[in-house]
Amino acid sequence: MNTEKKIEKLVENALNSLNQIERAEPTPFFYTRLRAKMEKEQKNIWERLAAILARPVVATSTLLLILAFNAFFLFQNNDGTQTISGQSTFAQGNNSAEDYFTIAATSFDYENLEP
Amino acid sequence: MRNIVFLNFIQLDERVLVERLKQGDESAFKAIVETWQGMVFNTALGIVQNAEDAEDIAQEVFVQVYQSVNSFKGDSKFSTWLYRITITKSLDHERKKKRKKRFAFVRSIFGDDNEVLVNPPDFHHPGVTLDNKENSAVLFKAISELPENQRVAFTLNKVEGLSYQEVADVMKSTVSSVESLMHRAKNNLRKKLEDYYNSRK
Repeated sequence: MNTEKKIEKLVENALNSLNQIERAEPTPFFYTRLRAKMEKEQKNIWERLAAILARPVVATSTLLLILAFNAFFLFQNNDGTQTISGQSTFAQGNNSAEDYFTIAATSFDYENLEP
Repeated sequence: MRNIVFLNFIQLDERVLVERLKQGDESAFKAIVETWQGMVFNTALGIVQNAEDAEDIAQEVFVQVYQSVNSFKGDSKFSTWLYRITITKSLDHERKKKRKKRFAFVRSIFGDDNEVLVNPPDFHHPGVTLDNKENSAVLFKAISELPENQRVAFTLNKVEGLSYQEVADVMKSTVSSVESLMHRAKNNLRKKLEDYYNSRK
């Protein structure tokens, strides 16, 4: 019984040991050290740039933009090719290779007419 | 009435400093650091229980304040915002420490025991009175084993001296939740302390 009461008292003392605790302060010149740390971090611009590019939102957006540009140019080129073959079919009524090259040569000649 | 006027003056001062910092005023940043460095350091110290780590965390808090002050909308007190950043960084630090310990333990199982696991010495908070130093060291050890929410609530209330309402504001919770957290924290601490003192018989 005595031991139990003793332990109870020790527990209460421990629980109350933070009464009247005072706030701890950092060591002197905290602001000076903080500014030195911030200046050191600022100097490393490349690392910061890499950190920005590594952000998931930035990396994903950049990738999607590149893919979108690629898709745009790809489809533009495809449309150009289809127009030429469409013209040759319309002009000749058939798709023989000979006709295609004749038309292509003619087109080329027209493009290179000198004034 | 005078106290209310005085508090409003402090809040106005706080708002002016924050606005000046948003405009890139270095002297405002210095004033902010000097005003709140003790609060930030003491809070971090209560959680991580190591002065060097607490200072590193305090520096990281003010770096974040400098970089992201524009995201502070003023819907809470500036000190509340500071407390939240400090608690987040302190808990991140503790989680990293736990992961390191677990990893080192696993490596030691597989025979790679180059890294020696040393138990840290008892933590003595510099603000505790001399006659309470030993008891507080035992209590801080028990606090470090509490679940995160209980640990945060207990530290903010007992080490920083915040009221339950202020603790609730920091934790984005209600007073009744904080009361419940404190009740459970004290029960857990009591159990741990009883086990500790019983083992010393």
